[in-house]
Amino acid sequence: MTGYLVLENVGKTYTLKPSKIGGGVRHVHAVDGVNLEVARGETLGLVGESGCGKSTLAKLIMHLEAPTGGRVVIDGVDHSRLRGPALKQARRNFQMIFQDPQASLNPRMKARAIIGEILGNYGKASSQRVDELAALVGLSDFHLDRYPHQLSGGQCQRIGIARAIALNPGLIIADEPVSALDVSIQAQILNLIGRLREQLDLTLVFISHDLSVVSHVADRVAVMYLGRIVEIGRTESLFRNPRHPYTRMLLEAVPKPTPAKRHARAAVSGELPSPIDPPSGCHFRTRCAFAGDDCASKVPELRPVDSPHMVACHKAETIASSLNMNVA
Amino acid sequence: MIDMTSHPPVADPVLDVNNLSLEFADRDKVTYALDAVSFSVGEGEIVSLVGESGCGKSVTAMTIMGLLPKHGARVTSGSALLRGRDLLQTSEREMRRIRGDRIGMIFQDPMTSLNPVHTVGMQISETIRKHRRVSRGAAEKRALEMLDLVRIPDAASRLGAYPHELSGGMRQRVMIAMALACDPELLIADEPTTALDVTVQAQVLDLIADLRRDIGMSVILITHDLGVVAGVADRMMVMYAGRIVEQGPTEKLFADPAHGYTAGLMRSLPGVNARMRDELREIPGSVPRLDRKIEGCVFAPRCEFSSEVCLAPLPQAQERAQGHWTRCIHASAVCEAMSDNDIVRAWA
Amino acid sequence: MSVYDQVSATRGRHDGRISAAAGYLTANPATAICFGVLLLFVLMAVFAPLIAGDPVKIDPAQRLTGPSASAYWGRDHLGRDVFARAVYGSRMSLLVGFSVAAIATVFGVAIGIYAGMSRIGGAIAMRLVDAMMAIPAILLAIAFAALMDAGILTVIIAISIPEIPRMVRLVRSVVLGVRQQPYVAAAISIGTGGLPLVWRHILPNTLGPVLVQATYACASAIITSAVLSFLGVGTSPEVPSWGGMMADARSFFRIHPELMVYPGVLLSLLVLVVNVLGDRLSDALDPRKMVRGSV
Repeated sequence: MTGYLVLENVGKTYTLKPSKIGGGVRHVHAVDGVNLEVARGETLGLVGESGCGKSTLAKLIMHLEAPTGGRVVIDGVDHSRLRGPALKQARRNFQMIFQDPQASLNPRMKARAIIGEILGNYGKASSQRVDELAALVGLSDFHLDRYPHQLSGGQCQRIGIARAIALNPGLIIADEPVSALDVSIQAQILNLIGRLREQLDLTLVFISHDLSVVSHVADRVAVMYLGRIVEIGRTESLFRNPRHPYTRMLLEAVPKPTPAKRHARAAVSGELPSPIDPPSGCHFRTRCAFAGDDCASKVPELRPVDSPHMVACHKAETIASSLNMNVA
Repeated sequence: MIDMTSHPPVADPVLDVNNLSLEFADRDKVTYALDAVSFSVGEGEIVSLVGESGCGKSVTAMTIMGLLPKHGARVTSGSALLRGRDLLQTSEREMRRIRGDRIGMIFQDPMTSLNPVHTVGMQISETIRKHRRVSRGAAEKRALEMLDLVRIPDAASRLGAYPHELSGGMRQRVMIAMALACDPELLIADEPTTALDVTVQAQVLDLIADLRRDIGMSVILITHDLGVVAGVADRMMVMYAGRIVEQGPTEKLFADPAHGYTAGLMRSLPGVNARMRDELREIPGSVPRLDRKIEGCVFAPRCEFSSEVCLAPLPQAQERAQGHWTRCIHASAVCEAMSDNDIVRAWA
Repeated sequence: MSVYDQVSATRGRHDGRISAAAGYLTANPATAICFGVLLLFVLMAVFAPLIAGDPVKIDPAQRLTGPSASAYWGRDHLGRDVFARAVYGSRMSLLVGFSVAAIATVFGVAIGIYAGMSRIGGAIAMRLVDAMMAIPAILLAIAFAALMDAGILTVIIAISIPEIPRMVRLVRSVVLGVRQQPYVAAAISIGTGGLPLVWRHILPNTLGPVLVQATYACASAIITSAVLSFLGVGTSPEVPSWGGMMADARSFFRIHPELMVYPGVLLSLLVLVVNVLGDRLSDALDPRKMVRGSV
């Protein structure tokens, strides 16, 4: 499979200045050897908790930060080596929708100017196109003549979306696009993104901490934990039959709107370890009931368990069989 | 008028809020932030105020605690009785004694409520000593008990920790410990898990549920997350545009929502097992501005069930079942439409 | 809208917009009075010839005489009209104050933005700024004034030079904050870079704190220029200035203290008014932005 977006062993390491007490330079592997392929027209959901590296990964794909290792290839172009005008041209093809709709819009520009800016950058300035885009995302002239602070969160996010799709990009990275919005507005924006994806044949990487939102939009889902992808598979298969103990834990922790089936206890144990000095081998082993000796010594590689469902866990089979026994 | 203030009666309530209305007055405009809010909290009960941002859920809590700015905010009617004592008629001096002693509070971001330059042990024991005449040693002993109560591992060594040395989840536990240190009759938790990751959220919610079971704590849980409500609340009050539009036992409301807004909220939730790529049922439009009094149903303009009659002066709050009250004229139609509540079923 | 927003809404909207800030400023009576007083000073400076007589004409026969119809505030030790000198002296103060504010802003913003955007250039610029700020501003100003020919331009340049580093520091710290804003990342990802990025996204969002700092620079320049005149550095003694008047009055302070009081009160009043306006402006602009902008 040749993906539209291909990440090859992408890594990002931040170096922390030596602390006064501890001494020595410390590193944080925010993203650690991530391999991913997203096919044209596919939507990949990327989930994980804060600090798992999903937002850093978004910045690496968007070339807002340079990776410390590996390659990011979009539509056959390795843009991590591009600079200057070539990079600017490449940017037309990948755009981002941001988490905080208000903060991602310049407070001193009117909506019309914000959407128009990207067109102007590529010599395509046209007020007609701005109107067209506004109509596409459900905004009117009234909204175009306002500043971001005069608009609601949902309206701001529509502007952000109009800006992202202005030049018909192939790839959209949506980084928590609805997490700052109210439930009723969230549904509007999710529907809008879904509609545009069909209309414009977009390839979408949808990042969220909210599993129910991801399950709704994604074709495939990747779960990240401390900089690594621990499980990836088709949405249905991953949610119905999670193979990694962390994915299991996440799914159980999601608050469900079913008071009648209130579960006795969320099976969450332990705390997220510090990313500065994560556990050796499998990062999750300190919170895992099934961890054995090899979990501490060997880093688990992503391996297919039920192709194309892949998991990075030494004990995936053991866990599956023990759970099946419990059921029986 | 009695219809306007009616709410499910609770035997021997810890807190009884009646017909609470509040305005924010600016130089040139008035915002009608709360309109006849009425509800009760019973002994050992977890009730949830749920709604979207701006619906007035936090303002309700701030009013009860007397934390709104003196100028600007004006209570125009109503009472908030804590065991029979009207908190709205209590002086600021007295309120300062009541807050932290008889009412405990936790907020969304624990870091802003904790003092970064003092250890958590010191902060908890200071809170105790502010309200109780006890020795420093006794207060510290109590602080240790509290950290144990909120299940902070290795509590004795954590007493000497500074807030920044703890994780977000641990900090929220410390806040809960501090809020409960004086055995309050009521805990008000304003979006206590919103800033936390789902796994940590699950732990904190479990803790709150356990504390209710173990020490019979009464809790007002303010949240926008229906999942959180479903997880821990006994009863829920759905707020919209400054009004409680529906209230009742949590299970009942999820099973048979009887207000257009509640129904709309539930239908707009994406479900984990829902069919992929289906359009979500959105609530059209946006929240109304509250700079004028709205006579009829506040949700009518966005409601798929609304008709002419909804615009007439406010419908009576009607009791649909034991303790289940709604302010929707079309409650029966809503119930019928929601009888195949496929979203909630999709989660089951 | 959270409760905190509602609370802040009751206190007036903090949109961080300068136009909104202007409305906020005029709405407050104390601020309006300050505006009025500043306006009076400006009118006094502009229409000095219509208000007062000749400020430089010497009349030894009438030295140190009291108030009269021809000289409302009396005459100094050379027989010059004190009122006229005080009125004309406002020209010097305002010209220096406004010019220094303008020069410090233009250069400070240009260098500060460069320092905030370029890592290496920023490091070099900031070390230079540190070095300049290690020298007391007044010494630096005296040194420059002594090196150049006497004249008001010299004074303006001499005072501007030590003001620029302060502005550079402020602007750089604000720029570093603005660069972290998601809308800057958004601008980069839509292909905006280089000067357009600075011009459209960085600069406009830096101006609030800069405006406040400029008012402070103006007030401080007015004082420094008075100090320079008082010390007799910069402008020639016959050019009317409040500092110079106070220097002249020093010798007669015991017998004619009013000669010191007139220019002293005017100077204090002007500086007070400008400082108050600066304070109100910084209150009126978005408080969150001000926190980020503080050095």
